[in-house]
Amino acid sequence: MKPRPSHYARAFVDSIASGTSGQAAREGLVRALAKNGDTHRLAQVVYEIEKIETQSHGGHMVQMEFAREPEKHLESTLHKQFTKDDLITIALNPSLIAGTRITLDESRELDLSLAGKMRALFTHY
Amino acid sequence: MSQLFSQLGIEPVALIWQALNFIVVLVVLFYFVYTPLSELVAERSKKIEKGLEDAVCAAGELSRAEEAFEARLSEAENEALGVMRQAEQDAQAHSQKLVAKGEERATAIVAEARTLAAHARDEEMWALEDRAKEFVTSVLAKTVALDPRAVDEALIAQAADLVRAELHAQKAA
Repeated sequence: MKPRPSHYARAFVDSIASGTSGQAAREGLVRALAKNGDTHRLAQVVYEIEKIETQSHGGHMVQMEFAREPEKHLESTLHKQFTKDDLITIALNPSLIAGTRITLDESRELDLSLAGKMRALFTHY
Repeated sequence: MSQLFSQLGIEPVALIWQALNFIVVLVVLFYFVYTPLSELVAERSKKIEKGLEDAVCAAGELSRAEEAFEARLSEAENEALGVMRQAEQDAQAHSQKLVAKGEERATAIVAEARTLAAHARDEEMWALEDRAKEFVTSVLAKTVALDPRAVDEALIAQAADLVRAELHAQKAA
């Protein structure tokens, strides 16, 4: 059975915690990925490592999607709601039409996009 | 007496012989003709009587046979009538069954047609609804595109409030 990205990430974080240098841990991770033919999953592994790191400090994984490039003051309004321990990633998604969709810890979705509101409206009526 | 015979030209001896001849002929005729003829006649009479009796018996038999025939004919007629009535009842029952089956099938066809019609109507409604949604969405998108900043600002402000409330709730939990 092939290891999942979360398994690689956990192994990487554990090796760092056990005192392995960052360089050696990175090389070990790349070797393991190459050996299992999983190099194309590197981005997922990195995301999993970030997730472990963030959650270990009590932070949240925050993904913000905007319909278009947000105004600076609007972006900062949202950023103010989070702490430095939270990991925030931003993506553009024109299908939202307007507004934003925020996902917390991959589980809680706060859909304040116009497309989401329309969908909710259509679902109810 | 002999004088009388002679006057009449009768010879007594010849008369006696003739008498004897006659008796002999009579005896011979009696034994060889009369008796067989009598027996023949008696037998014939018996046959005729028996034939008459047989005829009477045959008439009786015929009568009984005719009665039996009539009875059998009547019974056969009754039986045929019963069979015809039964056949008529069976045919009627079968006909009713066929009519009921036909009505049932017709009802099912009508119900199926109604279901199909309702389904087609629903599909048309859904398609229309989808087109309406797409239209409304495209109109809103175009409307928003006129001044996206205002809409974004309102929605993102709402999002900030919601995030604050969510995080607060998580901390409280």
